[in-house]
Amino acid sequence: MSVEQAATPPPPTPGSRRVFGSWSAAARWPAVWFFIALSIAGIVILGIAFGPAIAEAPGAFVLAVVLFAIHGAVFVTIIRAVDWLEPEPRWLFAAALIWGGFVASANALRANTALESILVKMTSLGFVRDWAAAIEGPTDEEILKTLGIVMIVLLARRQINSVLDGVVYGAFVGLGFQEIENITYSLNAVAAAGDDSLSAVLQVFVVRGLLAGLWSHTVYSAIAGAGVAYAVLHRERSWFNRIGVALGALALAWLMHFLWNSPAAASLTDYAGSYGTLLVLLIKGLLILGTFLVLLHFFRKDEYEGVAGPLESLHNPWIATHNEIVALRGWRSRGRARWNAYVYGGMRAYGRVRQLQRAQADLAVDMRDNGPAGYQARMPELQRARYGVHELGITDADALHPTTTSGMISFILAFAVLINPIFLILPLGFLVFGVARARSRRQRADPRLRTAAILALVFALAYLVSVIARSAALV
Amino acid sequence: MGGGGSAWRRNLVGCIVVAAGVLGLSLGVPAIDRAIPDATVSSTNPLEFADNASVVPPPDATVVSDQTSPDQGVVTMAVDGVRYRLSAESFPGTLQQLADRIRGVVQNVAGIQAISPDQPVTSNSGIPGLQATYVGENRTGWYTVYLSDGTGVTAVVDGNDAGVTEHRDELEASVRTVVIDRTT
Repeated sequence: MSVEQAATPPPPTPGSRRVFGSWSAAARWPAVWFFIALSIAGIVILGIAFGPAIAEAPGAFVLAVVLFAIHGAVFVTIIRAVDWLEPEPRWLFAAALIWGGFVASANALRANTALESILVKMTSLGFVRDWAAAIEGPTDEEILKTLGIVMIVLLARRQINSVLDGVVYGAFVGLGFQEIENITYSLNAVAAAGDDSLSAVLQVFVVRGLLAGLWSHTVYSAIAGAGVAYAVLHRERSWFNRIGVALGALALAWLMHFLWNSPAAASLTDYAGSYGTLLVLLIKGLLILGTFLVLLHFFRKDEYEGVAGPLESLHNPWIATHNEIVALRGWRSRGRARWNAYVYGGMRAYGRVRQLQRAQADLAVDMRDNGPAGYQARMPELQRARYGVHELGITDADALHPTTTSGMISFILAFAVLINPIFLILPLGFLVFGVARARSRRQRADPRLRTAAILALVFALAYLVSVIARSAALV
Repeated sequence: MGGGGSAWRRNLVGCIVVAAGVLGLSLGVPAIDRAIPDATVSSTNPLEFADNASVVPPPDATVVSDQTSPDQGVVTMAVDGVRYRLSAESFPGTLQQLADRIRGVVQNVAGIQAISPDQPVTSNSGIPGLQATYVGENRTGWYTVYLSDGTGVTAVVDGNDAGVTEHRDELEASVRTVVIDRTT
């Protein structure tokens, strides 16, 4: 056996998500070494560029890292929820984050500086002032991030099984870029303020993290990732078609980034002041996010059908009833099925339905990828999960639920917490009362009771954070 | 069993393409930038270096592109090796505070030996300012600050003795052409 053969990732093992058979096999795969080398180079470039700023303001740097790590963790949770049906390996997620955070951002730093210099030489200062960000950022950054998605394909081609996989890896590359860029912006803001200023970091966090965070690099790269995944998966199509779609997705990502960075509709801000600025940002952001969510809907539908098909074909309610297959579709329906279980049998039932859903999705994915061998490998896990649910008296872990007036009232009352946090007691009261009554009558409860309670808690938490921030500002 | 070797080679080629793309942007774009000469600017028309600030450049000045950041209101020009940097920013303090800030920066530059007291100056458009000259090891220069309606402009001329002396008149004339538009 040659070195090359030993290094080639083995065919997928049913029941396992491992990419390489061993560390030594991974070490003989070229992509691993290219990835490591480029990552180290990126870290060195960033270290040289921002090391002095970090040494000048260590407190602000630590605060920025903590804030944007929390910010990033929220995004990771959301992306993982999108990716729930077929979770990708964590080390590949980490690789995508590292590429975005260190390789793409470090090289974009160099390319953006040079491109701005070229624009200064070839156009007017006024043009550069207005349009440089709209030209440099999308051009350099989107290409570098998309190369990261290609690198993920080179690291683990077999992990790309649907267009949604490309979206997920692209989102992680974009997220890594976004958070490191946020930290570097914080350092620049601190340097401009002239001291180890924590308020400058908080300002960057509010503007870039909260106001602009939802429609930023994570979204752009997710779109580009869809194109890369399409090109990788659809080998039955012509090269022209595959490359065309990949470049089209990259062009859409570029356009979204361009729209966000461009001074389009800037004149509105001249007339309407800061409210006009916010309005323009909101319109741009919602346009970008809306486009992405529409596309995401179709990508998720595609992945769900790839999972639901094998389960439906079995016609075996012991493995999955029709209602359970329907419940697997999205995070809301999965959550409602677990909510029904919780109302019926508490946290134990909640956990067991979750295990069943996981086992059903794993079985379907393994059947899709490995056929009967995948079925055999995943059946024991599913049997255990089904026994666990059956033991509690749940025969159909569906997401069917009632819609009640109390649920609606509770949802509306959650917004009262924005006026005064004392109103938190109302949605919580509705929740406790609703669950207790449903249990006593052996009925289901409206899931909006839970949604309202969570929303109210988030609002109360936001209120608490704002109070602390105001106190800190006064000090 | 050529499939494994073929996959390994395809992976290697793919990696080389990705690395080439990264290096193309990281090294190639700066190389293109270096190959393009700095742009000469007109010495008769005002150069808007910020949203609300402009200056008429001295004759034969080129914009040093890698030390210019229009979105931050910074432009650096070069005249026969003498650097001429202007920056405009929102400044809530007084003219003296603006002058003290740039004085602090200049004092911390290695090799600076002496700085004159601030002298009042006025731009051609009537904006009040302060100016001070400094000398160092084989170099000299001066800074000028103007403040109008909350916008501060700082102009710093810096170069070797011969260059600054030779171009002093046109550089001083240029500094006096600074205009700060009223912000609405």
